[in-house]
Amino acid sequence: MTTTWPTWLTWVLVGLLPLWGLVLLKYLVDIRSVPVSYNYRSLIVRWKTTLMTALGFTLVVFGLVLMLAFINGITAVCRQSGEPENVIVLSKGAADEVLSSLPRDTISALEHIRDEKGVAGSRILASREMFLNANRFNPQTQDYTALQLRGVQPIVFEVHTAVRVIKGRTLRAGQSEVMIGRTVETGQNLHVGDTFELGRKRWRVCGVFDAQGSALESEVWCDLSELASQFKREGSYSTVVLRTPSAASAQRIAESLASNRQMNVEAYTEPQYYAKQAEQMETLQLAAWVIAWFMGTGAVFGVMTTMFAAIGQRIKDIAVMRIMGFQARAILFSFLIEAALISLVGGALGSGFGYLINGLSQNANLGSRTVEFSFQVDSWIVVSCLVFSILMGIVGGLLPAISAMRIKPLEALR
Amino acid sequence: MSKFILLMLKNLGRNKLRTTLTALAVTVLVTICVVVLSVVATVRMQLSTEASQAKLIVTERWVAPSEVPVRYIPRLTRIRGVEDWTTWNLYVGFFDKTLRSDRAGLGFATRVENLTRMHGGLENVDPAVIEALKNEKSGVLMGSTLMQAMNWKVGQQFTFFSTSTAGKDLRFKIVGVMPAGVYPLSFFFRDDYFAEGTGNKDTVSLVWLRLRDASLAPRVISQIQHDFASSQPALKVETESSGVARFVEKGKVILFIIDFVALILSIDMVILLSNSISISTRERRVEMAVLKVLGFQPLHIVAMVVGEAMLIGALSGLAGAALAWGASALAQSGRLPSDGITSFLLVFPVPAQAMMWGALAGASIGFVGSVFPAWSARKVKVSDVFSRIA
Repeated sequence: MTTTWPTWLTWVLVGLLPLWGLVLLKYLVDIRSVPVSYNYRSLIVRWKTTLMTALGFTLVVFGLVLMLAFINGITAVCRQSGEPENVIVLSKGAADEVLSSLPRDTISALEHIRDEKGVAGSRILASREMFLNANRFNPQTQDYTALQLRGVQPIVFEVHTAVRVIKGRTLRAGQSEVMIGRTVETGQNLHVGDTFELGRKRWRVCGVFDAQGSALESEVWCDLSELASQFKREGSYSTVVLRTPSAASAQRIAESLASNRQMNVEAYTEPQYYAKQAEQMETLQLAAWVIAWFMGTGAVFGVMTTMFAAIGQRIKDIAVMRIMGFQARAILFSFLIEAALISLVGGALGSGFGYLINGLSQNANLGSRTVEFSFQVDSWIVVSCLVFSILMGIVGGLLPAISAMRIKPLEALR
Repeated sequence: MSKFILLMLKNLGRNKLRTTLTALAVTVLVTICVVVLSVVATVRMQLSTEASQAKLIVTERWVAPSEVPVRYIPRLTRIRGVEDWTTWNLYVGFFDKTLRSDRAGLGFATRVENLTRMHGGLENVDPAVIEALKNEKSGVLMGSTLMQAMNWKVGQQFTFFSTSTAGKDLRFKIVGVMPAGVYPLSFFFRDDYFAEGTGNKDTVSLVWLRLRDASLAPRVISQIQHDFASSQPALKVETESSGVARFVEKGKVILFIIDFVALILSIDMVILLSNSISISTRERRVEMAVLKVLGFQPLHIVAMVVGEAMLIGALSGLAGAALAWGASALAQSGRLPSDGITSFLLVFPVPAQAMMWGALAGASIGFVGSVFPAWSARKVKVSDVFSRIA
């Protein structure tokens, strides 16, 4: 019988790298080291102070896990959105579908595009689409809620192949009916057979679709011409999505369209488009780390206070250890490990509490659209937070440890 | 009383290292707390102003981007109770041809004659700037953060590459800058220049109506809804306050996280201070016993410990808030780079009053953090302490 080594345990061990490094360094430079049990018992004796200091780290790490899990959740939606074989074409300069408007002649040209270097005879499909943010008046709450409408033609299901109808049926052309994404069903409390007012018509929900967790699941799909006539947007399209035979072909077409001066369009493969939408997360991620470093600095001063107090109380212990033959370096490493242990406890608790929010669903803005995402605490976050916590502990413990190392035994015992 | 304060100061000075470390911890945490809270406070302030209840936003009822026909405006502005009005046409694009996201901008084409009356925060714009905007058709009033990001000066000319009206790029001349924190990443320009340059003379993105009194809002809203119910397109009308609330609702997760981080920071400060004060009181048990022998009442001991914590909290809070204010002032004046983190955390100015709030918050944190240590210090038994020494 074979037992598998749990992945999470590997990540936790990786997260403890700074501590392992410290222990290794300790044994490399000093054979006769102070037993770790001495530090452990010291921490237990002063458990109140230890717990309070560790709690400081717990809060810092919890805050960091929360912020990173939010960013991770949004980024995951972007990663899951878009098929590499698809090319999304927008008007020149438009970074978002809402602001894009393609003229008819461009649409016609796009529908006849070919991949010159692709397999001969391979067909490229083109789906004309119109994306609008709509206001749905909710009679129950007497307030408006946002709906993301996409006007589509029947070819859309051949282009967005990840979309699967999970309840009801697909749209019928020329009818006032809509298909809703899985998250719209739960978020807007709409179900198959329900009707709602939008513009001068009532629209019937004919089906619910799943798009493998992508941003499309936050949308409402309806017939393109019905949508255009309802809101006086005839002849204008937000985007054209091209379905190519392969990811390489999609990449070639996107590049060729983007550099084509006559077309005057922006073209991205769908994964590129959604990655661009997620760019706003980079600033948030930077902000999260800046806030965490500030919080960590506070915790560093906290651990310094604790360690200086601990050393102040144990001057005689340290002096005795020095007389017993422990070198000054051994004292230094001993106190560094003690500080790292405090931060490890705090960091582990913070990561543990942070893990409780894993999977919690919320709505957030991504460009002009609202998407449902879930907080995602993954191994990378746990490891980063543990490393961050232990490093902060070591930094905080360094000055007190140096001061302990410099204690003169005879003077201390006098 | 003065002797008591002097005693507290002496006590704090006795272990200078611990006092300094505790003060530094609180200072750092207050700094980031003030910066973080300034973002949410500025957004929320928009919701609570009296003016926002007396201003209505009229947009196309069903879809966005909204296109309100210009022919509706006379009917809207004639409604009883409407005191003033203006329009916005959103003009989205880039400041250069690279089309990089950090070169993106948002312009509002609007009426110049009542620009300062219709836009909160622009009341104190120099009348000479407004006059210049009236005289210069391509004139533009820039957001302060944008000016720093682009490193532009008043008088500079630039071309804006539009994405909302593709191919209709307009050339502008900067005639003034908006006060710091007011529409920091946007710019205002003349509606007639927009209409002429883009050819869009028939629709506006939205209409603003200012009412004589906030209490008139329900009646005006219901009248607009009634009058335009059968129009195509139909209209949606809401107060500025509820419009902003709906906008903020979209970012509620971020606001919640920011609030939560601020809460964590506060608890962290309480824990740090409490820990430091606890260590200090444990080390000073003999001193407490001596004070009791000298006639100090338990309440005096509590007051002394709490006072020390509050003093250190207040001073650190003041220092932390002052640092945040200073960093914000540097960012607003363009002395800090306006990209990266500055564009998110220091985009809104930290007001000078934050220093007072910082000191108060620090003192409160000191109070909360020291209650338990002070209570245990109060219970020091003279006989126990001296028997141990003996």
